[in-house]
Amino acid sequence: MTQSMLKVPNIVRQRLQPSIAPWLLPLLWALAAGVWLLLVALPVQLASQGWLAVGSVAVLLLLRRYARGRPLLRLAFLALAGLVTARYIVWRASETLIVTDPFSTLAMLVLFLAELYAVGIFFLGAFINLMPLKRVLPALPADTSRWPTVDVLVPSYDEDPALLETTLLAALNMRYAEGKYKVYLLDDGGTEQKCNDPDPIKATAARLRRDTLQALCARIGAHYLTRARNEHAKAGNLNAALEHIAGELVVVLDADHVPTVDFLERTVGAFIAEPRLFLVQTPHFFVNADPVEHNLRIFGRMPPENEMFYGAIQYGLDYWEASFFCGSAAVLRRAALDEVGGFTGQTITEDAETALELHSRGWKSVYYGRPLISGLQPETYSGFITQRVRWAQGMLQLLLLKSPLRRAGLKPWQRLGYLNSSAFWLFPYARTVFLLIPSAWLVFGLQVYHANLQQFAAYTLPHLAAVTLAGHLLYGRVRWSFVSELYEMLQSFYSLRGIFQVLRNPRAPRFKVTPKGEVHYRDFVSSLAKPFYAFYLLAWVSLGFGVWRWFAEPLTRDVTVITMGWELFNLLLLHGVLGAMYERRQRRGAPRVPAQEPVRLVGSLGSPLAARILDISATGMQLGFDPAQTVPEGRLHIEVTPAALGCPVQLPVTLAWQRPGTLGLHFEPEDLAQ
Amino acid sequence: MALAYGDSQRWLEMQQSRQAAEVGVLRAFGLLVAVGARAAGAHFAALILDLPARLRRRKRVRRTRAAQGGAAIAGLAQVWPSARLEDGVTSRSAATANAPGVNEQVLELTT
Repeated sequence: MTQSMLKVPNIVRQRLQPSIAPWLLPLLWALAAGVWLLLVALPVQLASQGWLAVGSVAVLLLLRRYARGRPLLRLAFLALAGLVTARYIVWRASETLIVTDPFSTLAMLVLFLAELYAVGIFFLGAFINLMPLKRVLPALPADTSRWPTVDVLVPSYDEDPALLETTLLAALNMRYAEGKYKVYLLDDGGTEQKCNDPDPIKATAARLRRDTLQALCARIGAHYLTRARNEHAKAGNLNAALEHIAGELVVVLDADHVPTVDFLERTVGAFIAEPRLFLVQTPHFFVNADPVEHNLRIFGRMPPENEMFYGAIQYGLDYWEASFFCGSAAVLRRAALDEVGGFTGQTITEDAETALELHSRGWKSVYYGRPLISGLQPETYSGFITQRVRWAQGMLQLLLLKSPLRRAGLKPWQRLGYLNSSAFWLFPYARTVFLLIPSAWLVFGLQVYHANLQQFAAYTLPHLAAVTLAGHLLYGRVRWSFVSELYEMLQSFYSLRGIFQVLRNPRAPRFKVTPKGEVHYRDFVSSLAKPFYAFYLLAWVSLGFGVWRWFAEPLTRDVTVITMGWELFNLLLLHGVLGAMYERRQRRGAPRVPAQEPVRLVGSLGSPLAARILDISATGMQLGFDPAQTVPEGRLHIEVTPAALGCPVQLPVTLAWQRPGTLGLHFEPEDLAQ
Repeated sequence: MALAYGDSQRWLEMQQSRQAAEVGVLRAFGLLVAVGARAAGAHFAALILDLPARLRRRKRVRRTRAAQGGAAIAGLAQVWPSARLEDGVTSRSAATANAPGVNEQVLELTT
């Protein structure tokens, strides 16, 4: 990778340069910005505003088909959507904040603050995602002596040994120069502290775990490391390992993040080409459904929730040189880590914090969007919430303790990138306000939004349409519209408590490990659903009050009907929330992924069967075949040539089930490595 | 291992197929509303169908707690003969005071 690869390409300049002189470009930018600001502040009659808004939304609808692949049109689209939204918030601030009684005023300000946050995040998001950068990384040189040495670190706390074995084996199977990389299991569940726990049962369990994992590592060729005390959670675990290793690069893999064989081949070349590169981050690609997808039965029908971050936002951040370390599936330069004393652990999101430290020292990062690991999402709502509360708390800690806006060494756009990444996690405040505020008017009669139906149609509806269309343009391929609202509502109640904890004492939160690989064998209602019953009931009560208010107070019907529409929207989302909290049983422990490889099923009796793999998991596979063929019997094995190995392999299997044209097989290997 | 997790091409194709399932704003809203209503229906159905069983479980738990409370009180009465119990029953014989397992039982109950 040459220096020019890291130099952010100015796509707009590239497009305009042939026709416009370079010195003219800043002037044009300033002129466009001036006109935009003028239009934002331009006072017009309500009817004119209505036509302006309708025209803008119509243009947005027209442009959305063409703007995605065209940078200039994309910029124009976002500028127009931003104009509609900016005019809305100016109108809200200048005309609708009317002080009445104290309770109404307080509720009005609470709502306005939530709206300010939402509009701020919209503008930050639009800026960050203005020019997503999709890179092609340089390949490794042919001369393997130039390849840097690599240490692969797999930190673990309480994960199942079988899960760890899969990850370690895959890490050992990565294609790289012989003797140039080592794999380490960093066991925080078998520390001296845990093995000498005053509770004899816990101490015995820790010693047993340590013995089991040491034997596992010795058997498969990985290195086992542990430490004296469980200090500073994951960051402490990684730093303790750094004292024992000396590779030039460090790969961090979560316990459930199984790397593909080409992980190092595709990422390490960038470090040879760019000496100031500290990070190549790759996506966290999940092969199982998160609890929302699983419980709503939508897994595979729409992009997973994290796809928005790894499939859009990280590309946007990369353009602004602010893509950051996400804790796993990444390669880091050891020299850079040493410069900041290893992985920094002041916050519970040590990954983003380390990246912030290194960015502010001039080190560079790269985001490479090809999925090179497959991982597991938390399977239950409680596990999901544990993970999200940690992220929310950690990123807010970053905002409060590391102050990206004031931090020396960062470029202005990097500051905005980190501000966006951390301030986003304040969404539980806004989401909770948006959920509860309709009741303030419908039930309690508090005047929180001073507008009539015409103003609502001229300002609010176009604003809502503009942000929805802009969201669809920026993230439509990776996140369906309104899915964000659903996920945010699901997290809002529990994350809000976590946020207040950080605001009270930024150093208070402690790292909590996300539970992975949980299996439940029956359907059940999550015990965390209780607060949402209250919200649900309140929504119905509010709608009931709305009907009463419609008849009892004819003069305020405008406000009532608007607020009832809003409450109805909340109610529809709450259905999804409650549905997601009905935990459906899981039929299989190992996630199943689609496949296409041709395979031969060979038995000790009968002729071999030519088939095709339909899907596969760590424990078995489903085959499709011509129903006219007969299935062999006796001792069975499959013959297949995995693309990853490039040579044929045989694997003993047993028949699990059979239907016309399809059959299920269980692997019967002697060990997991086979 | 190589079959299930081998090459990144499979994940790339899977990612691309997920992204290809893009739908418009209104369709996304309609689908979410339908899916949410169905799942919420299942949630409430489970709550209602499970209600008699939950009530039975609650009653059983209450009974068990009451029984455990009685056992605890009985245990306390065995260990501390001077303890005055609510129903007026006190003490135990000197023989049971040193009976094996009594202290362990109380320890278990009190913890």
